[in-house]
Amino acid sequence: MNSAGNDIISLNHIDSGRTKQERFYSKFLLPAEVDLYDNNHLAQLSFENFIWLLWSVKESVYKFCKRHSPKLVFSPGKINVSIIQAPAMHDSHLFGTGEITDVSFNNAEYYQCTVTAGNEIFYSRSKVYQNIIHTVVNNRDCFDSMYWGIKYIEDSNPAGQSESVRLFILKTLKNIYPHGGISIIVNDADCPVIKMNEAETNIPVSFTHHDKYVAYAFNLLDEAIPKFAVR
Amino acid sequence: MDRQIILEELKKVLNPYTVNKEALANINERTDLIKDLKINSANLIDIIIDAENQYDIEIDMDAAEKIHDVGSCIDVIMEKAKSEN
Repeated sequence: MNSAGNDIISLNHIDSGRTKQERFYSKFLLPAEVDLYDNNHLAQLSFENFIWLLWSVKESVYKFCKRHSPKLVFSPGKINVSIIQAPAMHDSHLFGTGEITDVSFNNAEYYQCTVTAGNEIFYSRSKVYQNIIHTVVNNRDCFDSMYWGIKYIEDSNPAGQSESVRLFILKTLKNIYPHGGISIIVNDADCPVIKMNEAETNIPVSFTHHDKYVAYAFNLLDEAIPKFAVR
Repeated sequence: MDRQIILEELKKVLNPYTVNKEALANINERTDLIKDLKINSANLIDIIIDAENQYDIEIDMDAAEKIHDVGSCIDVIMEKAKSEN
């Protein structure tokens, strides 16, 4: 199953006090998932950031699955995080007012989770900044062909977020495919689709936004690249 | 409890999380919280907690997962209010 899923959380835009209440997190985390915090020596991660980290992992898995199951409803209780591994190099700096784009991840800098949803297993990479959490998931523990980007934007209304993330990814795609005639549409499953020269590609892409941050992820597997595309 | 009354009360619950106030004013039972009201998914649990406070009910994980539009939200509130009274 070729797909993409990513999620961003603006930590300045969440209710930290409410997050820490069992009444809040028990709505989407199972007791065994909450126990992962104490059992994995995650002291460098605050409890409220741990809660939102797991939320972003579950949301990303949901987005990944929804591309192939359009009627799927977000059911975080059915998406279970079983393993969490802290980064070897802990660096929780502030994500400023710029942007970052990259391919793959330096595993030493990212939280890595293993997740089950139904009969599927997923793997995630998450970065916890001072002000945001960003997660990308895949159904293989390999992110070599996963392109991703995070950007700060001035306009936080939904229309501005949507436009900004599209312009952001188009900039990256046009660098890869300068002759591609690239555009983005939304399919019947409400998932974004990349078009090149008016033809839909099989390149799975995921958008996310929260507050003044937008992000994307797309998996550029060889079989997804249209034959007419010139890199 | 009357569904229309709950729908009107839900507008107040949803208000802090909805940017498009015009869309909020015109909600019906088919209005999708994320797709139509553009509510960020990170606020869905906040809405459930606020609804719990409003109606003095407890919405567990299984019930919370049924909520995706205004109608399903009303269903869960009515079901929980009935079982807890």
